[in-house]
Amino acid sequence: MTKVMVVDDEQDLREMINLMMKKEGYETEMAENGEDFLEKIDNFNPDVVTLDVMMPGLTTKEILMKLKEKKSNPKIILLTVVRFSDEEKKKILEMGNVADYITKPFEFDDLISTVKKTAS
Amino acid sequence: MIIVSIISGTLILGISLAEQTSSMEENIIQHHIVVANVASQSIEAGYFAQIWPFETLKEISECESVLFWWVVKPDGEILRADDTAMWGKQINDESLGTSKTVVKDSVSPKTGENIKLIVHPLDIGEEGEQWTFYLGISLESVVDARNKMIVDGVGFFIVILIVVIFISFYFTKTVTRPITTLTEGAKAISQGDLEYNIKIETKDEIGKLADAFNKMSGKLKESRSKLENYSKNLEKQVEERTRELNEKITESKQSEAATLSILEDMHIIHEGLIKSQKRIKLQNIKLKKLDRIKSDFLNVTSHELRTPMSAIKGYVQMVMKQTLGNITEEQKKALNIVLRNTDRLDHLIQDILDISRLESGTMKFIPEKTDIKTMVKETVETMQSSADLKHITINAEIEDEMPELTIDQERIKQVIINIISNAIKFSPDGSIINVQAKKDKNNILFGVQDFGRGIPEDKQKKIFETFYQVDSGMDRKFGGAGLGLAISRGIVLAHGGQIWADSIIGKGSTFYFTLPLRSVVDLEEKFKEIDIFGLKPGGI
Repeated sequence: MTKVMVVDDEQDLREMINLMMKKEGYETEMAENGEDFLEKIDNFNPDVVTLDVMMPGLTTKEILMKLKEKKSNPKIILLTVVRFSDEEKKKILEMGNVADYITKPFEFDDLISTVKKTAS
Repeated sequence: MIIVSIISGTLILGISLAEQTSSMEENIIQHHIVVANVASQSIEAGYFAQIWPFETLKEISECESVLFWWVVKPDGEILRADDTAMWGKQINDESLGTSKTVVKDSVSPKTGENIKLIVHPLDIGEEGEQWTFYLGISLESVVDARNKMIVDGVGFFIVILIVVIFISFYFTKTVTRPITTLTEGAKAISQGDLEYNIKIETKDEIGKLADAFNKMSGKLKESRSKLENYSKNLEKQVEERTRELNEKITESKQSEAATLSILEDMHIIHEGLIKSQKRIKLQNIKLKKLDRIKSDFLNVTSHELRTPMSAIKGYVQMVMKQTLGNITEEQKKALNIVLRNTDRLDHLIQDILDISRLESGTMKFIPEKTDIKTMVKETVETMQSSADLKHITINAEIEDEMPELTIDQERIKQVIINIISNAIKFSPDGSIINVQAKKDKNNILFGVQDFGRGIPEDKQKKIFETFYQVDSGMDRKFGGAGLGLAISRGIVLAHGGQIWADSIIGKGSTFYFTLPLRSVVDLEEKFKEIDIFGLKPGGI
């Protein structure tokens, strides 16, 4: 079964995405910030991670750097309120692990299809 | 010069005369020694032949310089003489009986004049007897010749002297005197007598020199008078300046006190300025902090507003998709309204955030190379569904040769969407909207034409102001917060372009905006440093 980990500091949003993923038939786990995510990742060993880019604590960059030290090697979908330019997209994808990104507020269908595409 | 000439002339003449005289005397003596010799030999020959050489002696007697001749016996008795009166007379002479020819000075026994006496031995008479021939000669011819020479020489000398004097006189007149005159003139001028006029009127070099000299002294005189004038003026000016200076000094002394007080004031002002500067620096830091706070506030607001929106939208969509169980059609309809209003609210939030970012200068632009034709076409296509609701046809007229622009494509699309949305909003059902894009000088010109109600001329500029609506009452019918055109204006201005509207009431409006071809490079430069995750201050 495909494992999806939902990382978001907003409880409502985290739980909503978690619910969406469960209903789509994925095994899920939640983390409320970068530290929490890095702690839980090796235990859960997810295939896909939805990662909010604006959380208290570690920055997205720091999280991605520390992820390289872990055993797990998940594909990451960034959730952002920021638009990315072509150059930024290229840089993000070059950082490894990052598979795609979704701009908030997202459409239900867009998130489902993006996770599906990333997991396959 | 004359004296020198005379002395040298005399000396030359004297020396030459003495030489000439002695040489002439010598010649005469030598000549008469020969005569004495001839006479002696004739006498000797005649004595032995018992024939007295009368003829020879007669000839000798007739010689010009011969005064007398004597044939003297060894005892001093004159045997024969030219003058018979002398015969038998006794002479006493030391040269009597000489064996050599002797020449000596003597005195004429007749006239008492100085004569030369040539004493020549005669080999006649008995063995051991020495007869003597005496020949007295006069040097009168020498004296005559000398006198003649002296007369001639003196004459010549006088002639030379006259010539010399004449030449001297001439030179004195033509050369020496003018030079002396010039010298005197120069002396006079050098001693300051500039009135001195050199009077030489010859036409030679000296005349010219004198003329030049006179001109020079004239010039000097002129210069001197000018100098004198200058110096007089200078004195006056110096006096005047001194007076002025004194006045100034008095004035400056008075103003010095004023200056000092001004300086004190300036010092106080300077200190004040330094304090102000410090305050400004502090305020600047505060302002920068404020800017950061504002930017952070907008980022946080954006996140905080959109996160709940995401939750609302997500759950509503989940319910609508019946992921969480079946729902009725009525429930579905209600949720659709919730969703539509959520979207409207979301757009309003986005617009308010955009306006805030544009106004605070914290809006982030993402420049990308954009094909204008494709961009306009795509945008028109996305608007077609909205236009279809009012049966409006959108005609797009885009020039084929369009350059690529480096712009924030999403933001420019937003501008076109805003303008077309407005056009649709205010167009009557079934009308046409013309969209055009073309190259215009250094810009790309975009135009959106509608055939709606139009905008009054006095309001054509105001519509680009924040929250402005042409008719508040009427616009309630059309909806919108009046932010779209203000945001569009901000985006276009940020790209270095212009935005405006042309309209005729009742006939419609055309909205134009331009994007410069040139500012492309600046935009690229401006957005070179890209903050990937929008975590830098003002990054979002």
